[in-house]
Amino acid sequence: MNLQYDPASRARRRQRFVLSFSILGAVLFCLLAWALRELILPIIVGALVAYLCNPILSWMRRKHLPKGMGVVVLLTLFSLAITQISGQIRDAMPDEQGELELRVRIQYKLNERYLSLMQLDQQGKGNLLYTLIGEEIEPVRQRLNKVLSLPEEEQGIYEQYYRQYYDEKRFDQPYYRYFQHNIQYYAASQGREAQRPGDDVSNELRQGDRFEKEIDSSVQEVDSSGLLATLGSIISIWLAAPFVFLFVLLDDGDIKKGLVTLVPNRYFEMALTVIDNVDKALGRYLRGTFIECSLVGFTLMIGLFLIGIEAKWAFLIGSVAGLANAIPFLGPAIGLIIGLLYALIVEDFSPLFSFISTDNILIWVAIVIGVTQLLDNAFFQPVVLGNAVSLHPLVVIIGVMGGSILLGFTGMLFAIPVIVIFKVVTGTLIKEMKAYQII
Amino acid sequence: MDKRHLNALWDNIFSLNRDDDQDSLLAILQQVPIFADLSLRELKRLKAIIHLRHYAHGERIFQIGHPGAAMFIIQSGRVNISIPSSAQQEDLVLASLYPGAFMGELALLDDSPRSATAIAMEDTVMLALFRSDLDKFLDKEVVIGSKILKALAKVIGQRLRMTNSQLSDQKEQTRKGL
Repeated sequence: MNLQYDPASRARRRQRFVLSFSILGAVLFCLLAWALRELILPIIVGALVAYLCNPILSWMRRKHLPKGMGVVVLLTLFSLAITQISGQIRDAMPDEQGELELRVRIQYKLNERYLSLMQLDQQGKGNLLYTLIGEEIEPVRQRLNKVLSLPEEEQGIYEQYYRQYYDEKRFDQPYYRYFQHNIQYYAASQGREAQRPGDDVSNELRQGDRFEKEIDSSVQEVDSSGLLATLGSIISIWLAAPFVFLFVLLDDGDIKKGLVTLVPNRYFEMALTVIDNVDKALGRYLRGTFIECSLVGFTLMIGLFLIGIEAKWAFLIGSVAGLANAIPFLGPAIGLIIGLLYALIVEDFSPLFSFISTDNILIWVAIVIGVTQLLDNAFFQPVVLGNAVSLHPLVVIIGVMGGSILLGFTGMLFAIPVIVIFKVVTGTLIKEMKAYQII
Repeated sequence: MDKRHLNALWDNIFSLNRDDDQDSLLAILQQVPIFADLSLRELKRLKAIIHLRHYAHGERIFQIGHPGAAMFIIQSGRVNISIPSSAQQEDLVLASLYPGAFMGELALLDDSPRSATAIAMEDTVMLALFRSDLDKFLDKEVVIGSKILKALAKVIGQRLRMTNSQLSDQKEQTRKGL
């Protein structure tokens, strides 16, 4: 080995050292990123929220609040928001029985509303609407029924649950009657006679015993597979989000300075100008989208609450629809579907206005969502997003579809921000490279 | 890329005497008239947005005509400020600057093109302060910001007075010559 201590050979050794460690580091980084890919989403969420909170931190600094104190306040608010939202979602998430009940209710109400809308009689004749579109709609309804109807195993679980809690009184329970009705209806539509649960007691007992065993085994399975372990792993993965949030907010520009050291002197000024322009454009877009989605969610919450939907459900539907609104075109449709699904199954609600009832709640939910979208397009978007980056609708559609194919719902949510980053970076880079006479 | 320039890049990434650089950074900042009114505590806050760059001998720091985005302060080394000369093949050197001197302060106000080229005449360490970083800093640190802007206005006022005086002298000479 050549160990001369002249500057030239030292520089060569340094180059070789840094280059080999850079390559090794890049390979290790790629391997780690792949192995820890589950952490990517919490990291992105933490960094994104910190990025959105940066102007609030600046405002706090202007009000002479120390940076540490400001970060503590924001972290507390962030943690409180996460706890509240996850608590609400956890409360609203149905358990296994609740999920079955939900499907039973949706199937029953869907058929009930359909029959009432088409005014179908015993002979299968309906009103003018049925004559016009019945043939097209009927296969869709059959398909939906097939998806929603409980297979035999789940029917057993449902049956067992009602036998256990209500015994003979189960026949007075509305959702049990829906369940029976659905079985009959689905079987009739499939062209065979339905076997009414409860008609043949011995058969039912046999069935009950069998399902009892199945339930016992499934409960054991859930215990052993470790529901707590799954929950624990999700919580531990998402613990990364507050940490990232904290350190990004505490950063005094060291991350950017560290990245800029990698840029050769010739491109130093240009690189910082590009970073600054991208930061401005992206900040405008992300903060604008966040405020727009919050306004949409908040308007929906108020609207749904005003037509009589329970505050908890109005909050949940508004939150989900607001979040989904970040996905262009598809977001409003998701909000509409969730709202209509709730309106379809809602039974006991206390409307503020007498003219709203369970019969017309579907229409009112659609009106609230329609008015919210109108407000969004006419006021929120122009005022809030204003001169933020705009994308061609075709790019948006292809981007959202591509994101959905690659990463599912997460991909749909992040497709547009990624395209915006790409567009702003390339646009600014080309403009600045021309200004600095590089190209 | 020139070998010396490549070495300067490694210096930026892998600076061996980074701690020493950081220590002398505050001392240099205290010498700059724009930051003269700042206390040591305020200078430490400002230090967070200062970029440290190593330039090799002959390397260009900025070029005439390029948009200005940063003000540079010499920490160590020597920098020549020059403009192209129509009469000679070589550029006309307007000034040679040494540690503590600063250049490109107008870039802190807007992105108007540089009026001259700055070239490192030996291996040089520069401190760079970016307009965008300063804007964000002023947004948070209003008191420090007002001190910097007042000092910057004073410096620009002095330069304007000097330019006026030179212009007046030149006119006087032209009048006498006629």
